[in-house]
Amino acid sequence: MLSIEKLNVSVGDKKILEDFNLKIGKGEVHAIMGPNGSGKSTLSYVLAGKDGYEVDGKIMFKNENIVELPADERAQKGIFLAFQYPIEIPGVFMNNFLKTSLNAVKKAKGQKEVDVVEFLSLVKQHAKKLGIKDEQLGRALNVGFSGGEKKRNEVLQMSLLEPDLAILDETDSGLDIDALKVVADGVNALRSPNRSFLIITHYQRLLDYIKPDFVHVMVNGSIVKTGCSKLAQELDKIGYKEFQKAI
Amino acid sequence: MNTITDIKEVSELRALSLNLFNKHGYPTKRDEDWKQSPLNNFLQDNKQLEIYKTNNDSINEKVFENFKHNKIIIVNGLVQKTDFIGKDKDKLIITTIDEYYKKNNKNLLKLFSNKKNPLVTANNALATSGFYLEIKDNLDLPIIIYHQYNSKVDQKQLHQKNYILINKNSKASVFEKFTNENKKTFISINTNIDVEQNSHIKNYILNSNNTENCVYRFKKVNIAASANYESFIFSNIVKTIRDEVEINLNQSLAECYLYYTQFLKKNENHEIKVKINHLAENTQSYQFSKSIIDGTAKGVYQGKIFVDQIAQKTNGYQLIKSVLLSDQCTFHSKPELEIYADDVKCSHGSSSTSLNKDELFYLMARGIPETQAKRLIVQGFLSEVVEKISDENFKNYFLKKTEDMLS
Repeated sequence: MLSIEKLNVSVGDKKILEDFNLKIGKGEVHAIMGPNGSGKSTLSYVLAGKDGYEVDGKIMFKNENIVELPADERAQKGIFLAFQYPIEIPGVFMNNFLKTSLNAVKKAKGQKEVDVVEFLSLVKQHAKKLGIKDEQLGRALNVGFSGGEKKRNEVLQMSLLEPDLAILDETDSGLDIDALKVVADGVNALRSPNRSFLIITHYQRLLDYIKPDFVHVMVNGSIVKTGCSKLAQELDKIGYKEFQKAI
Repeated sequence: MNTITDIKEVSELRALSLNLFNKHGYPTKRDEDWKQSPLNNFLQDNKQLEIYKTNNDSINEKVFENFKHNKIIIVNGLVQKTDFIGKDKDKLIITTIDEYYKKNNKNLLKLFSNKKNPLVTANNALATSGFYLEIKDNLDLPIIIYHQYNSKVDQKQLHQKNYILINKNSKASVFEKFTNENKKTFISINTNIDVEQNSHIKNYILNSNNTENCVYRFKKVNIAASANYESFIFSNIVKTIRDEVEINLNQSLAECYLYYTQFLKKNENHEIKVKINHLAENTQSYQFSKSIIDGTAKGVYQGKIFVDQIAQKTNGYQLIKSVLLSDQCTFHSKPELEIYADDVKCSHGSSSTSLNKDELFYLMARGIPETQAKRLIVQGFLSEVVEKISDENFKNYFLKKTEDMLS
């Protein structure tokens, strides 16, 4: 699904990712854990195609190097980034945004676009599963949403767009225990043999709900250790200091 | 139908205004109030434009809106046709401004009171046309005033002076739709509006298709107790316009709400100037303006809130935002507060930014192509102001206009 080879990312003189390598197979769930400032969020932005970085290396997605593609084309090809801090856009209403997004992706895939009636039925069905009220769908995008509402909204978008690779950037931050469970259930419902996940987190608690196949430790822009889900539990006890010392 | 100048009182007031104008002349960059005005260059370069004398010019019916409304059609400054519907026929009076002068020749001083503004004094001296509109009760339907200017006023100047009176306990929505098809013309429209006690007037303006001329629109609005005035101006495809309003909140519980959206491109210029005078206790004013500027266009917003010593419990709010889409465009903002009372709540804020890259990335990361994503952001930015319009039908009308403008 995804193969990152010798990825170097910098902003000005500051190197953020250095010779970064990662392979994610179809249907696999990978978790990346690491201390603040290790480059996790940058990795998620670079994979999604954000401007402002100097990028060198290969990002092979479904056997195509997407490193030069803009964000919209990557999303249309099936990459989805659930933002750590979803952006508030005043005046852009949820329903209009979701329909525009869904139809842009469908159009790119050569599928039939949905009309208003089909869209409303579809979005309500998905929203209900995530405990999102109809009233929220009539509001401006993320404006005045609580932390939990914003994260649920990210999962709603993911479930509508049905990506092949979903990147979750600290989706657990700002969530209470109940909201964390709702969001995790939403993500688990999307797990399938054809869909891969990359979960970025500081803490093991999200991984109690979404069981990863692989856990990677990221320090100073590189992966320094890879293991199974038990590694996350170990990290919870020992922290990242050991890995930072090793470097 | 032409202006009557043989009324002694009017002739005297016009002569006085002409003297004032001659003393000052056209405004220049040296006048603080006109420093950034896009009108300056046009006026300095076109001082000799001949004054257009009103005539029975033909009506362009293509621009009529297809929803039910009371029509007033004004061509090149002159009322050419009216069509009032049902019971509204008995609630409306419209005449030429000259007819009003004839009947009220002892009460004209307030219509000629402006002695400081050079272009208003020019208008007072030179106006050859205009209308008097009186709203006597709650209207069932909105009024649309179609201001049409055609090629007959090419390379001329046209001064139009109007007076709108909204009687006690009346409500009305007045939409002014401007269509200009002329070239190198200076159009000056000077309107006095009196909103009497417990009346509510909604005044919406569409500036569009105004590609080749220079327009100065000055309004002076007097608002009485428990009355309110709501205005919205939507500007797109304009050449050079200054929209100026001076509002007097004269009595307790008088309120005004001023909303502006503009999308300026190429070499378009639009200037907004607002002065709100809080002159009594418990008055409220609200200004909210959003501009999108592109190309080499220039936007200006000068907004002043004045609070008199006796105007305790004043509530004044002003928020001016602009987004600049190119490196060559400019937006000048000058928010001002002048407060002499001590128990007031006044706030003002102004910001100019480029298009928010995080917003753009968020939308593109959802598969929305860049052009479409930019359009959504711009539409959302402007719609926030349009959403404030209290007349639901006109809110939807302008939301649609905003969408159409960008598609």
